[in-house]
This record gives sequence, structure tokens and C-alpha cells, in this order.
Amino acid sequence: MDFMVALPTIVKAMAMGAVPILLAALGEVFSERAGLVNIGLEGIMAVGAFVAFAVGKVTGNLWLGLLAGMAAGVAVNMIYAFCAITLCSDQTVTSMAVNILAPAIALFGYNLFVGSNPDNATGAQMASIAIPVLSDIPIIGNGLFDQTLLAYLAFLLVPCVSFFFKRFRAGLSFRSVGENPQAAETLGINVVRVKYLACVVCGALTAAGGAFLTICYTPIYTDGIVAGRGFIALATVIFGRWSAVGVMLASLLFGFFDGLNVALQASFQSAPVMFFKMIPYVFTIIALMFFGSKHGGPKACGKPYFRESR
Amino acid sequence: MSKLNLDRRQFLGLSGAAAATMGLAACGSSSSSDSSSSDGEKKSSYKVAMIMSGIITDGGWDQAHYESLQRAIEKHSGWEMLEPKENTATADAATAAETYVDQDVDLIVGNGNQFASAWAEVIAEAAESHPNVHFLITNTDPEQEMTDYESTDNVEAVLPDFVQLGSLAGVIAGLMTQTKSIGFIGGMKLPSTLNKYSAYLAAAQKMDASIQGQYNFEAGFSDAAKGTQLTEQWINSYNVDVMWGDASAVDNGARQALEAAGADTHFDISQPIDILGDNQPTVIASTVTDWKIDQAMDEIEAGSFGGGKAITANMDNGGVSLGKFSDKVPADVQSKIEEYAEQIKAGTFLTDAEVAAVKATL
Repeated sequence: MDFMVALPTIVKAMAMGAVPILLAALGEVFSERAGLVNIGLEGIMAVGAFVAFAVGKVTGNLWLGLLAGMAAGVAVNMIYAFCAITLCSDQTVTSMAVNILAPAIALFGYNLFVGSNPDNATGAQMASIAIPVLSDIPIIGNGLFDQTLLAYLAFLLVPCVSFFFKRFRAGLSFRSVGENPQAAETLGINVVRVKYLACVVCGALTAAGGAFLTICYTPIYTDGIVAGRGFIALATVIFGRWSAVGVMLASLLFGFFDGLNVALQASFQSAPVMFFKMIPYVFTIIALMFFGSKHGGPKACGKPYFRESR
Repeated sequence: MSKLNLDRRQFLGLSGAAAATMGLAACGSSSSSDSSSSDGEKKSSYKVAMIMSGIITDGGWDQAHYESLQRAIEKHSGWEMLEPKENTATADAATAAETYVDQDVDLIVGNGNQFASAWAEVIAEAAESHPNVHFLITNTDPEQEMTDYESTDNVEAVLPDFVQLGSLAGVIAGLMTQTKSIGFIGGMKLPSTLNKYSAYLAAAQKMDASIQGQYNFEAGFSDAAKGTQLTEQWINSYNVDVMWGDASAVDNGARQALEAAGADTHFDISQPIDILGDNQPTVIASTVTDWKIDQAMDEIEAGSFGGGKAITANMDNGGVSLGKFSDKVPADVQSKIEEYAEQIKAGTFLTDAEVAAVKATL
């Protein structure tokens, strides 16, 4: 493989591949910062991907599709929110149930949508916008600076989220709820409301990650299109130490290894493809071995909150 | 009006008796159905059901099967199609088939070779209990994939002529490529995938010996983004300008990469259905597969179905065909393709040795 020839495509794959993971992982940061482990990202992404695809196709407006996808993601995540926050059910089990339920809902909707009209199988795709000068930088320019507006917004969201958690009172409220909800309650913070708000943000951002796959990457929806990205997003939250910047770097690193995997597959055709396919996941496991310590996460993460308990 | 006051024991007893009566009645009706249909009289109505690994709107494998079934139903007025069972996991395949066996469905179609291993027991049991239920498994070689079957009395398989399919695509690719570089994405490294690609490249090289092929046989069937990435990499590294795919949704991703590189210079040959249209600007032609469910229905009606035979779907019986051409394929090229198609149909275009030579390099 001529690495320098393949590198621009790897960089592009890195940037494109990082966006859906980044959006879902930022959503999970909100959730876990408020003490809610939500492993249902994969399912929420599937719903977001389908609804954005379908609404974008019907209305011809991809931004409307994105908003509808995000709303659908919030709606699905409210199932988790109600069970985990109000009913204090086990967060892992509940979100796993969402992972099974949500793609089935999306598939049911897809069958209705495309089954009634096969022309609906292909939707519209967001155009990419090349940033003048920057997109002309050799090797990395095209990959990094010729993206869709949604991709740029996803990366712009990183400093916003980082600033929110560090500088805003509401951000500090999120963090205190995730660290010690009882103490937060004594400070006048409405813990339940913060947790529900976290679920709204998590549902919306995660669904936006799914929507990216169907309105920016390819203009189709298929069962399984999320292809494990929701679980990778979970790993990037831990690898990124629950910070927005860390999550972005982890997403880019995963995207790079995913792009490298494809470049190797494309170049060494007679080699065992499964070996190359393992690369991003081996990287994920190694990253979790080094950064997966529980000590870095919010202390009350995953624990149900009973207002009366001490 | 009298009231029935039952204690719990009486209620359970009555419920048990009712359930047993209903069970016996069901057995009775089942056996009477069997006897009525196995007495040698020609039936006037039949039922067919399809159990599928994916969904009927996937734009690829499953849709091709569903469309084949619809065409077969159109040709057979006495047949009723039950709602296809979609997204069936291999673990659920046997249970799904059993439900149709219990309904005495005349023909149960499984759309893929995974059903060959999943259905061995169901088919053996049905051969004794429901001899009028028949099974058709597509993309399956009985000699290799049904060797452990206790009974093949009620089962047949369908195998497309992969060399014909690959040859048709290869001729189109060979005549349309400007860069002498063509690509192929397969979802899984199956013998059928290797045969298709070998014939594809051999046929293209028969058009121009300098043509090089890029391939990936393990791209899966659902991650469209992977198709985009792979094709982008091939376009940038090897200047690939014509693609043929065998990976359903992944092929859609490949078409996105081709479109981004220029739909007037980068082309896709779709399969197994004809998807040519305005919303597919890169598609220039299609290789179409019909799974010959109509032939299986004919055999059932004639009483000749079974014995573990394999129906070959080929250009002679309409199982393999060319779809429509886009305007991007010049008229003289279309004529050449049709000439070569006749040679492919006659079996004079590629030799087994030419296909085997490519296969040996994979």
C-alpha cells in the first residue's frame, strides 16, 4: 500500500466516521454526567437514522428530517428516562431493552415507508461544503475541511459542551447530580428534572448521530446501518474521560483506525479481511484497559436515585 | 339464569378437558387435511410462504426473492402467498418453518443457504407428518450443503448460474471502464461470491487483458458507510471506475462514492434486481436473478418436486438476465453486450479454465 496515496482517504474516513460517534458520545456525556448510564445509544441512533431519512425524503428538507430524528430520539429515550429515573429500574437492563426495541420500531417504520412506495428507498443527501483555502491543504485538507454542515456543527459542539460543563451553573448542576445527587438536592437542585433534561439532550444528540448516517453519509436506511457505532460511542466516553474534548479525540482516533482498516482491506486483498476489521475494536479494548477505570467517572453514575435515601 | 359456581380444582379440571378436546380436534383436522391432500387427487389451491433473512424492501437480496415470488404468483392463479416472514434469525428459522408446516403450507421457501443447515430436522419430520409440505432453499448446493439430510423427498434447492451472472457483469464492466480498473464488493466469502467475482474479472479481461480487479468479499450486508469508504479508497488508490456489488446495502454506499467521484465517469452495475432510474445516477445496467419459484410451483402441481434436486437459474429459463441499460451505455456498446450475452447463454464465452485461473489467485 502506498500510504501517502491512501492517507487522504483515511483522513476523510476518519472525519466522517468520527461524527456519528462523537454526537452519540456527547449525548452520553450529558447522561452520565447526570448519573445515568445509557447503553441504549445503538437503538436511539437507529430511530434517529430512520426518522431523519424518512422525514427528509418526504419533506425534501434534510434539516427538518434531522429535527424530526432528534425528536424521535428524545421520545424513545423517554422510555428509558421514565423507567430509570421515575421507576428507579436498573439502568443497564432498561437501556439494553431500548437497544432491542428501538431498531425494531425503526424497521417497522421503514417497512411501512418503503413497502408502500419503493421510490422511498433512496432519500436525499446533504451536500458538503468546502472551506476555502483550508480544503486545499495537501493530504488533510479535503478530508477535514470538505464536510457537511452537520459535521462542522458536531465538531463546533465540542467547545460548547466543554464550556457548558465547566463554566455554566447548569453544567455544574449536571456534574453535582452525577457525583452526589443527595448533596445536590440539599443545594436546591431538582435532581429528577436535571436527569430528565440529560435524557432529552442525550436522546437528541444520539439520534443526530444516527441521522448523520442516513442524511450525510449515505441516503438510505437499512436495518443494522448503525453497525455498532452506539457501543463504540459508549467506549469513547470512558476513553475520553467524560469530557467533550476527550470524547472528540477518542472519536477521531477510532475513526482513524476504522479508516485505516478499510484502507488495509482495500490494499491487501488476499490477506484475511477479518484481521483488519478487528483493528478498531482491538484499539477500543486496549483503550478501555488503560482508561476504563471507574474512578474517573461520575460517582453516582448507574445508581438509581431515591430522593428519601441518604 | 343459573350461575356456575366452580371451585379452583373443578375449574382447572374443566380447563384441562377443554384444552385436550381442542388439541384432539386440531389433530383430527390436521390428519384429515393430510389424507384429503394425499389421496392422489389434484389440488386446486395451494399456499406458499417465504422465510427471509432480511426485509423485502432492502433493495437487494431479499427484495429479489420477494419479487421472484410475486412473479411466480402472477403466473400461478391457484396459489396464495402468505405474508413473508422477514428478518428471521438463523436461530428462529426452524421454528418459523414449523409454524408453516403446521398450517400445511404447500411450499416453504428459505432465501439463503443458512436455511439448509437450520431446516434439516424440520424437513425430516415434515417428510413423515406432512408429506404435502415442500421446501425450497435458495443459493444452496445440495451436494455440499445438504449432505446430512435424513430425507430429501420434500426438498429442492435453487442455484443461479454464477458464471453467467459474473460474465454478464464482467462484459459490461470491461466495455465501459476507461481506467481499466474495476471493483467488486461481496458481503460474505461464500463459494458463490468467489465464483461470481472470478467470472466477472475473467469476462472483463476477455474484453481487455490489461483490466485489473479490486475486490473485498467480507464487507457485510448492512453498513453502507463501509461501501463508501472502500470504494473511495479504490477510486483514489487504483482509479477504479466501474463497480459490481453483491452486498445489498453496502452496494448503496459504493454508489455514493462513485457519484461523488463523478456519475458521468464512474459507473455501477447493480444486482440482483434492476434498480436503474433517476435516483441512481451511477447505475448503468443490472444483472438480474430470478429464483425460479415458479418452476418449483410447477413441479409441485405436477407431483415431480423433491429428491434434493437443484434448480439452476440461468439465462435459458429466465433465472439470470440483463436489466435495462442507462443512456450512458452507448448504443454500439449495448449491441456488443447483447452479442456477448448470447455467447454467455450458449456457454461459449468463457471456459471453466479461464474462471478457475482467476479463482486460483483469490
